[in-house]
Amino acid sequence: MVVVAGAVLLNFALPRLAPGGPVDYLVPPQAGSVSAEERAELLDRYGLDESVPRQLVTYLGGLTRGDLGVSVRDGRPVRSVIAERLGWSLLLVGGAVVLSALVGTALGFFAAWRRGSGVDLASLVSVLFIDALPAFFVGLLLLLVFSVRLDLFPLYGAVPASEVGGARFLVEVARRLALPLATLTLTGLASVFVVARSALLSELDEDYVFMARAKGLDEKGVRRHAQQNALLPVSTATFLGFSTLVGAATVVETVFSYPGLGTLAFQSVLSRDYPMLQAVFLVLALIAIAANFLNDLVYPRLDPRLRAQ
Amino acid sequence: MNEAPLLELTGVRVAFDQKGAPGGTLALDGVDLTVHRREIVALVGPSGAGKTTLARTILGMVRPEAGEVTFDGQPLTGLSQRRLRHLRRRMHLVFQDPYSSLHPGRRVEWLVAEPLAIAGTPRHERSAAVTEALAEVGLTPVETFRRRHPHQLSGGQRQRVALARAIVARPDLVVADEPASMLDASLRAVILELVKRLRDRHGATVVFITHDLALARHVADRIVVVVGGRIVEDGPADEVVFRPRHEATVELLDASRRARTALG
Amino acid sequence: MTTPAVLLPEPVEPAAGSRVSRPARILGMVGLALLALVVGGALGASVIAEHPPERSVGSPFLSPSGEHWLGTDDIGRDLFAQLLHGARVSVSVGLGAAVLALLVGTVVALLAGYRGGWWDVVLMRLVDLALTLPLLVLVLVLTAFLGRSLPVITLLIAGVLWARPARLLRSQVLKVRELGHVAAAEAMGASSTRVALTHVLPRLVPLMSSQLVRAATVAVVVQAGIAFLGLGDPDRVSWGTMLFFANSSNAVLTEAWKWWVLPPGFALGALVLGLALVSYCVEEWAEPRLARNAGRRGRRRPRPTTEAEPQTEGTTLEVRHLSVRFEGGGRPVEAVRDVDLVVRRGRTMGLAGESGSGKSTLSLALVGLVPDPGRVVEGEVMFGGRDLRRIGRTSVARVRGREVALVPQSAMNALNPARTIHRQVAEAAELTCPAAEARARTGELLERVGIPAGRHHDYPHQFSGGMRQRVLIAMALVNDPRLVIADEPVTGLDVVNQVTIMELLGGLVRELDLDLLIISHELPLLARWVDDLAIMYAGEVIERGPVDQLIGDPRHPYTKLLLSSFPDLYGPRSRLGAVPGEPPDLSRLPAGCSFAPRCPCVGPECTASRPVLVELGAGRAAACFCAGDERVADLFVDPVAVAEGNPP
Repeated sequence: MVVVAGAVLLNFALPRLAPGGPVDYLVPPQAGSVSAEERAELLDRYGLDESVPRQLVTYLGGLTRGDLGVSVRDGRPVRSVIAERLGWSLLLVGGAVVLSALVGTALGFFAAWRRGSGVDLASLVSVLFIDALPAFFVGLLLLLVFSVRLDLFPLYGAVPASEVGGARFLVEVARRLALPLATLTLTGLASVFVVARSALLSELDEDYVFMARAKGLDEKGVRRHAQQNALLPVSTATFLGFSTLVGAATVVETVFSYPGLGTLAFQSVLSRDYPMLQAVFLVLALIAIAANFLNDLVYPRLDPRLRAQ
Repeated sequence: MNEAPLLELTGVRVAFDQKGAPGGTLALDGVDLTVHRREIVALVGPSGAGKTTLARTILGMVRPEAGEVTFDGQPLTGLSQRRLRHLRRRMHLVFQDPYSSLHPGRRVEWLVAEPLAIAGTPRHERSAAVTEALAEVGLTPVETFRRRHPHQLSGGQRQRVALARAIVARPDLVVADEPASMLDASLRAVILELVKRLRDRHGATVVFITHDLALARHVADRIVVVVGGRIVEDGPADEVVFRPRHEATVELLDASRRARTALG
Repeated sequence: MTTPAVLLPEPVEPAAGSRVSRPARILGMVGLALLALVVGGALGASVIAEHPPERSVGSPFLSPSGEHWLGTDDIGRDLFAQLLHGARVSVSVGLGAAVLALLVGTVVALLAGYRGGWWDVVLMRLVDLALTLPLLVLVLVLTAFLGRSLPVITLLIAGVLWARPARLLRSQVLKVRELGHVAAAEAMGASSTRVALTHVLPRLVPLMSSQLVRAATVAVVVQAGIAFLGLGDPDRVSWGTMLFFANSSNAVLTEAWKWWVLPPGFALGALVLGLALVSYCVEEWAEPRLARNAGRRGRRRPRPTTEAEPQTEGTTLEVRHLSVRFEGGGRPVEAVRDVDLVVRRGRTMGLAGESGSGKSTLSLALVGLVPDPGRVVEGEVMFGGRDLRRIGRTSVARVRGREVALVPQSAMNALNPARTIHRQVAEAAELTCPAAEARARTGELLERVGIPAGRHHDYPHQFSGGMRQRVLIAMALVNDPRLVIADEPVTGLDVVNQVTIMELLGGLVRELDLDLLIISHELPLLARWVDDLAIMYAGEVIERGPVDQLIGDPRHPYTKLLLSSFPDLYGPRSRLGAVPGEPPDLSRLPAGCSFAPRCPCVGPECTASRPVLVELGAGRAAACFCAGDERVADLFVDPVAVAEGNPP
């Protein structure tokens, strides 16, 4: 809750912290075409001529009513624009989180069991290498190979331009989702992999793993013991990775011209659409906070030591 | 004993240890204890009885919620952190675990001189004291040992470093928390001898913590039995072992007897 | 408040020459090389590249040539010059932001972790906030409001990056605070500034260095991302802006991608990979336990080729000439050397020894669980008429838990924290019987060891050390084994618990008619519960025999001195005896008798050749040249002499 409040406050404060205040951003002083009256009217419209506490009250009031303001760029209500985009972003980021968690954990555990072997080293190095390439560069390369050269996937967008219905529509959506999703999954993979690998390695050193072996369990049974506990840090890493992927999605969506919140944020920065930008940031922050909250809910289910408290 | 006691605890209550034991049980419940100058007192009790909490309360590292701890006529409660720190320089704690109680990144000479550094003794005056103390605990040749890091020492040698530090600190009171229990038996006698010597040669008062009555009897003049956060018995060492009054002491003695065969 | 588990460290693993495993070292070197390449390019940019990066120097869209190694971009700027100069931006932003973030993070961690109280509450809320917000988006939004020159971007990145190191360092501070030497300094009356700076801060350095590298990595990626979106510093050429221009002029669709898109992309990759590899290496150095366990499982071990002599009648276990060697880095360590040991049917066997005596390694070797890099190099383990060393790994695994059960040393950690005790015991029982029966048997046995039925489905953390040890005993007995090996079953427990556990174990062994091998360093305790006793020193059995005779009339000087170092409850109050010298270093054992350097009876023959176990009659044996000597009976070493550093 405190974090949510913090995010809201930060969001409120951001434009007001900027040098020159929000007015200069809304109405650049250099733009001579704006007269003093028009300026005053604008200020009045956005409520910027009131005291800061009053502005805060107005802002919070708007938030509770779900009123996020009006886009400066095209005059549409911010809320409906965001509602349009939110689904696509959740589909992309959510999919990437799930995929990278599954694949990363499986690979990480696989490597840890073969600690020090060639397989371990190879997977470690290749995962680190993929992780080292920036997300947008991976995106560009995938685009280059699969769309430009091989022509397997469309170049941009999320929905087909022409009207198609039913299953055909879903296939087209999937084709357009494939590359951004792959890019984002690759981005999130490494952190999960590294955590899963080292978590399992340190669990393997624990006495209870030794004991599982000593009491005669086969390798499969021993493995289950260790993996159960190694999942704890992996789950935390996955949920915390959410906010990293939300950030990376901004760039990846831009590369693929995918109509999510990331592209929206980018466009808003370019067109100085501050109400929109503020709202996008708030929504993205809330998504990340929700992921964190989920982690707090899930963790005690995995670790009985926390359940008692 | 016409001198005033060095340490006096009256009605000390400590609610829970710093980790927050559940249930609000008392770690110490109305402890009265008087320790006279140049005495070796053993605090004996099973694990969880409150021995370590008691030691920390004596050192002012745990603040009791009721009762008073008086060190050399000075009440500890109500003292500012700063005054308390100054008073603590006249006490010294020897830890159970020689592996973690020495800063791994420093050399023996730094470790032994630390009490002097804390007290603000000028650098050039520290070296002689360190040499003397290292020789006294048998870490010879001193010039070799003073340049070593803790990881180059055995457990016994580390505990000797800890005791050299106690010598250098010239404390009025030494609290030794199971100083030999993590060492091999073969090294135990020497460490205990060095603890005794802090009193015999350096005039310190020693509070010695152990769970083993037999060991307590060999080291201490007086045995104080702590069970469940209370002092249940307090008397001269042989008196407590041969004529126990409290049933908890009898139980401890019984366990001690059954845990060993008469040797040699 | 409970005394921590007292585990005597057994130095079975050789002191490794390096704290970092070999693969990590190689990766680290590769990482350093990559970093050197990038930093070199950044430093030498103006010297190596002939053209200025930000001005048009040729026609647009040139292909690579001798003049322009990577061709030119859409307005004729030299791409090679841009590549080199771009390195400067990445390196300076990465370094600057990381150092700043780490400084802030460390200060916050020390304040929150060491000062605690309100500092902690307020600062950690801030950290939570900064950690949850999507970083890249935040920087993006902030640049929109606060400007986008390079210093501003660096500051902004640092401003969102400090939180992760702050949180990790704080939990490290909390851990370090609990360390003995920090408490020791506090107990000596050191000021909190002194404690924080000399005791806490140095212990943070490993984590700080790995976090520095991490922060640099993120900073580089974030800066590149912003520049790629065209929102970077418009006055500076960076790899991100190169990709931005490439993307916006659709270089992907033309041949230009080869020299326009790939070089800056891979340059970024090289820098980040270099940082990641170095950080991997640094992390292993900071957390040595990651480096351990590096051995390979499933490695073939030499199996004896000759037939074993049949097992002697009336013995449950017969160990012959068993040797275990650890070969890590440096010198090989002979943890167990040529040990003969017999557990007779119906008689409890005790194995006593101090740290480094090899007693625990021996017990692990019996059940085929010697940890890497150790291996059994010689000997036979005869059990049930067969040599456990010859029957293969899977067969030994079948013997474990079913016929030979192990009660391990560290009761505190030998149970899986995430499973109920009932499930963990039942899991063992299911190896030999159907699930329903296993559950019933588990319930019965848990109650028999003194755990009330209402607590069977509790988790290990809800039990005290003594109770956990009971669970482990139940786990060992659940399959009706013929032999139980208890490795330090009561170490770390107080006297009262020690007695209860030993009585429980002894009673069950009689009741179920099993044989028992107990290993301990508590000689008096052991002596009370066993029928036969063997004393180990430096990997060898140096004396063995029926317990009463061995205790009453020890023949080996070490046994005699060791016995004198235990206090007697009712005997005269006198000095305890000492054993002079230091415990043996298993990687540097002397040529002759391994006890010779500490032995008061040492003679010329002791340093010349190694004594072997000699039978002394009545089932007794000792490995000493003066085993029959009367001097041994009166041996006593005054600790005062040893304390002064003058062993006799």
